[in-house]
Amino acid sequence: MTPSAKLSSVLNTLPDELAEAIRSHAESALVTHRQKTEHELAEARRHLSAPSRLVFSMTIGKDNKAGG
Amino acid sequence: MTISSLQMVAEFEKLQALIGELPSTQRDLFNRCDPRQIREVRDAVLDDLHSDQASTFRRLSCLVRMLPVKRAARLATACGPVVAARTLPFLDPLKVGRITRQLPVDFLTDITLEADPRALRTLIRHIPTDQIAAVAAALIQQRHYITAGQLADALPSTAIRQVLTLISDDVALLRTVFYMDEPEQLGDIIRLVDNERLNQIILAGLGNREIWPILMWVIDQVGRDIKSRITNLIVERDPETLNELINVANNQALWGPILRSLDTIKDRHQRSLVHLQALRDEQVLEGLMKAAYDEGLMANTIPLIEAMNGDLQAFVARVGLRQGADILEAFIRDAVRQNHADVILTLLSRMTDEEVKELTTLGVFDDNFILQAIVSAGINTGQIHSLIRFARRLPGKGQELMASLMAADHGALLERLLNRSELLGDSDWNELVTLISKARIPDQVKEIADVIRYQSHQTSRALKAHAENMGSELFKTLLK
Repeated sequence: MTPSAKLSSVLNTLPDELAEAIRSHAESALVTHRQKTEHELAEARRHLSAPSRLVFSMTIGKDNKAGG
Repeated sequence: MTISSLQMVAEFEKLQALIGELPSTQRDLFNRCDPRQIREVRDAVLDDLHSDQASTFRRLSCLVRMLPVKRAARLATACGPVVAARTLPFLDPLKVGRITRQLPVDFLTDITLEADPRALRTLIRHIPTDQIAAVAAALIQQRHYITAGQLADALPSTAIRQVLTLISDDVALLRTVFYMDEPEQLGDIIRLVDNERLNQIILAGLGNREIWPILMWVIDQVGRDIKSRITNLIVERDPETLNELINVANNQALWGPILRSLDTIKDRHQRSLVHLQALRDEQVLEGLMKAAYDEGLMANTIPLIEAMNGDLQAFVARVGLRQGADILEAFIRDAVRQNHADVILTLLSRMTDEEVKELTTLGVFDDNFILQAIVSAGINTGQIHSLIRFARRLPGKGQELMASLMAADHGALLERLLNRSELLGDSDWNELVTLISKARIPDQVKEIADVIRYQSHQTSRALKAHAENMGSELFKTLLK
């Protein structure tokens, strides 16, 4: 079961209205979390010296925006 | 708010720390959930958040694994706390420990705020104690109670001792432990606190009304020895504080911890506790009784009643009668179950005849076992007058049941009762004669006759006189 499927399954045990509010907040939190992570990765790249930046970029890859 | 609701508050605030504040209308729905459900939701949200972009951080952890410790620490610093925190779960804990030694406390504190607390709990034991304690203290000083609390029960004892020396704000410590992920570990943490500091923490909590629910929550999490230390410290406070504490317990439905800790309170404190002005308030007393019923803690109220003076017992009896059959019957059954049927007679002795009559209509008194326990308790504690008064105010069927109980087992109960005949007044003899005259079955009459036959001259004479007085045909026959 994927983490988001697990979250849905757990939320199904709660009253509908509450589950919906949590689901919506969790989705927003995930978006914020992803944006923050991407921003911090970009910042990290910027702070590193040129050789380190190259290794860092090669390591994390260009597709770091993709989930999973 | 019960203790389970307080646990819910803790879980709810931990969830909100992750996903943001929910609207108040939805917050009210939390009362319909179990704290464990909310914990599951939080774990699922954490899984969702920390699995996002996991492949990126897994690759980054491979890079860190290949770097020497100092270079890895420099990379962590350059990447910042968010990236460092996200990489943590994929690293070897031993390597994390070695890298940590190279990093300042401020940076480690920032990482802690960003990391999955569950990953941190597994890493803690690989990090030097000084650093853990310094980070925990920094979190508390910066009022990140939720983050600090979630890790508190995972800290080694040496780190906890250090935190205690680093943090002088005792209220902050109480706020922190409230968010522990494993509250059942609280007792072990408190055992690390010396008596003087524990007193200081509890007194600081008592000095801040906002903290009282947490203080009650603490009492409910710990074992008997610590419960006793804390509650006795609390009940030594001035009556004004205690009255206020009782009102807070009543308003926020926090009677549970008080009731559960009652048997750890020293006798002299119990007496002063039950005579507090706050308990003379009908509404407060009703709140206590309802909470005791709802939480299945009726038996825990018995020591309170025993420590009360007669006036207060009468007040309790009066308020109790108004609570309805369910609560009254639960109290009676619990008192009997705890071998404290005498307390029923004590309360009964404080009631008017009308009140006793009202009480005796309860269905619980159709139960042989209950009646037998009450009769035995009355004989054992010498509450013969109350016993006979009670028995004679039972409805007709109840009186017949009582008479047959007296006759049962070769009249054992009647014999024991007559052995305490020195406690019977004139009216009691009359009532007793009338009561045992209710025995109808010939075998029962025979058993009663046998008991009476072997009574002392004085007792037989008294019985005969009263039987004649009462015009009891049965007794005239029996005493021929």
